[in-house]
Amino acid sequence: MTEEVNPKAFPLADAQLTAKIMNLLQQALNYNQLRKGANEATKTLNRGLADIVVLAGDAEPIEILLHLPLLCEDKNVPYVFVRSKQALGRACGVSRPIVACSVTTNEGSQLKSQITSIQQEIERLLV
Amino acid sequence: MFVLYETPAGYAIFKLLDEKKLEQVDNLYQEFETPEKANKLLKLKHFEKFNDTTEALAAATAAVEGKVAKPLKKTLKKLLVDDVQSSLLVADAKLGTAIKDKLSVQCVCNTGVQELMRCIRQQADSLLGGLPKREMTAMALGLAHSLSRYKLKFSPDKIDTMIVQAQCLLDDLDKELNNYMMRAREWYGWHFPELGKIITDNIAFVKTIKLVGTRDNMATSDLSDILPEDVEEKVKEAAEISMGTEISEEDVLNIQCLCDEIISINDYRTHLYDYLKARMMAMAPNLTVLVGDTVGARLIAHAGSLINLAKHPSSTVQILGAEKALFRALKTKKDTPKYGLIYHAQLVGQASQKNKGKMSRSLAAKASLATRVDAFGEEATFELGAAHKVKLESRLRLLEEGNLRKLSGTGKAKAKFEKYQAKSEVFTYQPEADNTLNVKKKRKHSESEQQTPVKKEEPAEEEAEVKSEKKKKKKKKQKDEEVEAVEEAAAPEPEDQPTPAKKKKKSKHQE
Repeated sequence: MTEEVNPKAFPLADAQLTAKIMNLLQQALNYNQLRKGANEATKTLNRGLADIVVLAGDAEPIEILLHLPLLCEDKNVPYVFVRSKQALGRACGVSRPIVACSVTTNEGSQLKSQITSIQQEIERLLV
Repeated sequence: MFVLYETPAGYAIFKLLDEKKLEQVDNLYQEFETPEKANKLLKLKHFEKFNDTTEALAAATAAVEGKVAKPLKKTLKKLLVDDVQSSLLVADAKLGTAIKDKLSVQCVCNTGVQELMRCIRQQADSLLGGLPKREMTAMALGLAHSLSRYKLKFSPDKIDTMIVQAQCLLDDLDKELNNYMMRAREWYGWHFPELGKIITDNIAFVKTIKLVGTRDNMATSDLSDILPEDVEEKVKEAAEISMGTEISEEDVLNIQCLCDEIISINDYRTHLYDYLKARMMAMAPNLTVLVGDTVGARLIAHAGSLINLAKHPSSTVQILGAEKALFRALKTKKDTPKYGLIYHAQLVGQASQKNKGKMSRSLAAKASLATRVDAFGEEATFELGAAHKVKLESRLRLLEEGNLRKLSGTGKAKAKFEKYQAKSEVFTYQPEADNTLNVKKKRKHSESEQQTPVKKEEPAEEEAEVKSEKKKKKKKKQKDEEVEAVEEAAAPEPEDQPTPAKKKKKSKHQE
């Protein structure tokens, strides 16, 4: 959390929403509904499987993940930036920092309501 | 609560009379089944009509870019500034953000609003009572044409198209040049067939023909500007004894025209290549440094534009150009290809056959990152590409040396050594258990004594030579088998003695 966040990172989640998102990612990892990394997130978006895309605002350089907002807008998928890639990596259960990850769709999953509520909060951030 | 509805003819501001209906999104369509029901829920507060197509185009362009147009700003100021408590429903999130920034009006944009917009569109005629349908259709058509023309004129892909077309033309020029060159060699070969073998360079061949004409002039011509001295002497010797036919001056003139054409195409090709190199370095410097201008241009041409290439994952960048092989492999369930266009990059070419696949995968990953920085970054620097190239080159050097294999081999050798020690521990346990028996003790003692020297000898042999471990494994197995045979031989001996007292003891022990 010590690193500076790029001004291009919009919409940026505050501390409360960040905690909820990290909790969701942890549970998505347990339910096997999580894809880690920019390339895998790109593939889930292309296949239409992504529900939420989480990006790190302190990626250096940040342009390496700016193609994901474009794809998210094309596919109408909510996306949100968090402040720390280190924290994002830890939440995804990876020992390295992660700049992007996506929560995938599963109709019968127990995470459905949680995903929906976070999607609505992200939509509120945009306006 | 107000609703902003954008039409080709102007902006419509509705007043939502019952806000609770919006919460039940699934049943919202029932409220719009008939025009009367629709008018009960929504009331047209104001309709700001556009004066002409130009104003409509400006408003639509502003909406596409997520900005607030002047007519919209004025309209919202009139209606909403008085009613500060209310909020505005908008269809576009970006537009909502812009309105919020400029007018401090609370905007809402979610799935419920999208559904409401669909319902309004369904009953647009009745809700916008003032406009005839014919006029609305005409306005829509005019706006569509104007907006499309605007988008085409100010397309951001313009720069990428220049590179795509230049790369395609470069490939075409190479093919055309090759065809012309073959034709020139064959054509002049009728007259002077030996020249084709003596002069292998295409441009030198063409310049020689232009200077000399027929082979009769070869002896008197000065070829020092075009050819080295030894080649020049060979050519002049061959001219005197050539087996070719005689051709007229008119024939030579036509051949020389073809040579002129070849030289001009070659010059243009050089010029075009320099242009492509400069353009690639200006537009995608990191990608150019990493994979080279030709391969980079081919990747961009294949993807369509730089932004499209940036949107691909790195696994797709690796395979671009090998789609036919990929789909064939997927259909027949065989191995998929390891590289596509990226095979011709310098780093993949340097790698040996074993490491080409690894190198192409690493290069594709770094090239993907470099492309994204080039596409979305504002500065035109190539520091990222240069740093990535240094890392890839050092990794290639590491792969070629094969140090990793030695390390893994050492690990395996240690593992094998450890396994042997575990076995010896098992053997040492058995003799102690035999001490409790009186008669059988002697025999088993003798067996254990035989085994111990064998065990002692084995580690010494192993320590001597590590390479022959496999042979020693076989020896161990043989010795183990011998020990088992001895045990089997010992077992039937007590059964032969018919003493009844011993039989009873044996039965007890067996139990």
